[in-house]
Amino acid sequence: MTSLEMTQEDRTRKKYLGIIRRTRLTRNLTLIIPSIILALFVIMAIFANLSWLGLPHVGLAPHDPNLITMRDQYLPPAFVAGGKSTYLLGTDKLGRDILSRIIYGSRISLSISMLVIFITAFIGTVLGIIAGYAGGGVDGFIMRVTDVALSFPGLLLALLLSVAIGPGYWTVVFALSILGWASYARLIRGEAMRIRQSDFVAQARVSGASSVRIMLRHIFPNIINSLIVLMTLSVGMVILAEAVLSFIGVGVPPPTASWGSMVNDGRTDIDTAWWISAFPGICIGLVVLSGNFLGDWIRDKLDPRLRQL
Amino acid sequence: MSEIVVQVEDLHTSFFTRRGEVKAVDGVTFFVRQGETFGIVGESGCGKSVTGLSIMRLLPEPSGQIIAGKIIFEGVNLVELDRKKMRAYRGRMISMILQDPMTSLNPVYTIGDQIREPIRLHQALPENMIEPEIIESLRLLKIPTPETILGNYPFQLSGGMRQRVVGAIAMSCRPHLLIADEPTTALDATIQAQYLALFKDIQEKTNVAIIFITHDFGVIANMCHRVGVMYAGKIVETAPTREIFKAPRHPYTVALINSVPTLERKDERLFSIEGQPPSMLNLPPGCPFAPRCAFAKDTCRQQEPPEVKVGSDHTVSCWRVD
Amino acid sequence: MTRFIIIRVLQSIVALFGILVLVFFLVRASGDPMRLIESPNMTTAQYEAIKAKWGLDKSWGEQFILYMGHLAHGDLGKSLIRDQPEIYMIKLALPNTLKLIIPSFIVGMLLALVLGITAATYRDSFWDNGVKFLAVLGQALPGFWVAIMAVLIFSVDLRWLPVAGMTKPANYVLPVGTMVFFMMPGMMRLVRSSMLDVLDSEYVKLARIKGLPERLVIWKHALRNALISPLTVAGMIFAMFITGAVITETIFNWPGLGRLLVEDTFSRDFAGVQAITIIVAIFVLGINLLVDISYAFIDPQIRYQRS
Repeated sequence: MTSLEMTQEDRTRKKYLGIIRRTRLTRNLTLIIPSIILALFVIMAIFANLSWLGLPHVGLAPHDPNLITMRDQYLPPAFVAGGKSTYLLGTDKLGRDILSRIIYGSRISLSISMLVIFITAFIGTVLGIIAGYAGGGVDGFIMRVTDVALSFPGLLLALLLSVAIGPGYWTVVFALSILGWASYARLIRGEAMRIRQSDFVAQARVSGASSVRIMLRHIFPNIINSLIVLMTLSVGMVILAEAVLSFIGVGVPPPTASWGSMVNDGRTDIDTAWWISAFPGICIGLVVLSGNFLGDWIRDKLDPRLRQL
Repeated sequence: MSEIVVQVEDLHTSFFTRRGEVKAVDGVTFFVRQGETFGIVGESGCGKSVTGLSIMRLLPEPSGQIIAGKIIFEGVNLVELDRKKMRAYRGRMISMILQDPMTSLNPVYTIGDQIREPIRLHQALPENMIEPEIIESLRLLKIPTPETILGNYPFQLSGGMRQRVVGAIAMSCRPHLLIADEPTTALDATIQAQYLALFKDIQEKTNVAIIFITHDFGVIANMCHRVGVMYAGKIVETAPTREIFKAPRHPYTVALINSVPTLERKDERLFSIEGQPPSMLNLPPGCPFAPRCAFAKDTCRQQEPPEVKVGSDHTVSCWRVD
Repeated sequence: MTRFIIIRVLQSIVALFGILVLVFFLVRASGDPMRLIESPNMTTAQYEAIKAKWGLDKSWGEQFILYMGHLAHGDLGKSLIRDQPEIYMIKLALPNTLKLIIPSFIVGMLLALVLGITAATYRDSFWDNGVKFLAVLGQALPGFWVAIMAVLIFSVDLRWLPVAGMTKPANYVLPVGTMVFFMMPGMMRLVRSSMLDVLDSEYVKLARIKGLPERLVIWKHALRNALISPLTVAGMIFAMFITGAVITETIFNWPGLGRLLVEDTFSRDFAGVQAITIIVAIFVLGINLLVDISYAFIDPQIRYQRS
């Protein structure tokens, strides 16, 4: 090999190794940054006030989120002309502090999404494992119900429920859960079907294990990876869904602050007081974005086959 | 002696992955003549499929790259061609058969459609001559009543039939070189024999040069004129088939041949080679087989062995060849 | 294939029935539905008339039969607030919603297809990275917020586009844009990943082995297979569409079914909410059925045998 050929080879090597190194760096960033952002919001939610420690007036939120001060209404954010430093992100039309409402709003968004995720994951996993393992008519039935649940617009159902049982925190949880289990059911069923074909399941059946035992001890541990990926990716979706509900007006009822309803509050005054809608929306976007990136990272680590999620 | 159709010289192909550079093909040299079948044999992961894909320049981009070496096909170095020029060779002068007939055929198009495509592309035939040409290709692969399957979809045919269709597509434009990447691995044993006989017949009729990639020595014995034994991205021994079986010189070849159970040695234990093939991410210096070699000496572990000629058409890469 | 279609149609009818039952029970399960219907303007006569018509003083079984009977006649009840039959309200609102949905669907699908396919074909290129960025933003930023910001920027600050009205084409830009923002990123992402999967397949490799020009490889071989997967979630996408329509109509005061639904919700017009839910359910099931049937045309395996 002449020395000229050597350098060409090395040049090609260098080029492609460089590409690899850059991808690795971005991959690490997609773990660190979203995690920090999410952690910040969780801290915000927990430490909004310390009433759970018996100190209701101590906390991150500078003001009472529901305190109406008409003389301080429509104040722009502190960094814009006309703003006051006590209201960092400005006030809304009732003089309530936007920042404090955002901090308390994180409680609503995060708590509802945690609840809904666990409820839907549970229901969806149970149905999915049963469908995937049993096959046949049971599978067909569960899958049809799942198909309908997946293709039915959740907002419609939420509106119906709001009329039927009245708006409220638990109505929102119910509305989001009643259809949300479907994506879990579909995914877990696919996984369960795949695992059912494996040798160790055949082994268990041959040795006389009951179906329930097989489902619990063999199938479930093998679907946990997919479950975790979907649960993490769901965080963004559920928070968005809750925001949509409260935007329309069927979320957690006023005066409780929820990011979605805050965006709606600022809608009519968008031309004069853009900050009322802007900041809550940015928060929603940040949390959902972080949740999605984190979910992607976890999926790439645990099971890249699930790329289509 | 017939002409050399393709000559591969010191080919280096690597995959650039998240975990670093994988040197799939690490300096491979061989040639194939007209009408001759050259077998590449080795364990899974030794780089034989990648060699085939490199010749076709069909490596998965952007991770797979040919980083050095020449592939001289009928006087032209394929490595230096741009995409457009390379495409002109594919299907017409060089063709390939893939391993799994279930997945190599496009499920949404009929058999007739799929064979028609390369014919229409590469051969300047008037419309009414194309159908007979399709049927002729199917006949070459000894498919009975070819007219009946033209309208069928792949899922309607058996595995053996499908592999014949794949063969028909490959031979439809009478290429000069056919690369067969483990075409019989997914077939039943009985069908395998038929398929191999079929290809020998085709080779006689069309004088096509074949590179046959496999891990099965039985297939090599049946099908190939000359063999290259591949290990960890390098060809360690090249020889005519008869000689490889009669007088293998590289310790790896010896071990491989011994590990094929035969009817004669019924009472002995099954022989297997100790250890694992090396990780292609971090190849140790020296001969790649050294860690598993019974004859390894210090030089083996420090320096790569040179290619040594031990017969009229027989080369070995080993320090301990004498 | 006919067998496949018949089964699907039957399943859809069963599903519709199931939804009707669900809606029926949901509304009545929370207590006396008359409580919801009551309004101070009602005379005792009207009250009794409604009660009798819907059989609210009878057992649930009898009520259900009455309910189904009314539905079969196309009578969805009377809006309690407007004193108009629901069918009439829906007939007024539906065309407006369609005026919004159909252009949004066409634009959104085209964009999703073109962007998704080109992103997959030129993987990791500048274009692909742009598409991926757009998909990420589109799935994270709340659509209603983007719409409001768009109104702020384009209508208020720049004065390029009008805020309200339905007459000029310019009126359509923001609402259709909002709708597209809702559903396009998800679809685009799906098309892209499905295309990536197909591009990795053996038969695409074979197409290249044949020496086919890249153009043919992509458009003939890869595309048809790549479209199968996104089709399976078309039903889900349609659901997102409906949600998007409700939100868009609310923001832009568009007089369609979505806005009607929200108004009815807040005025506690449960006949209205029930009626619209039923109509939408019929649409949803209908679209799903259509998708299933077109699936049969694309995938020959379903055409020739039960897969």
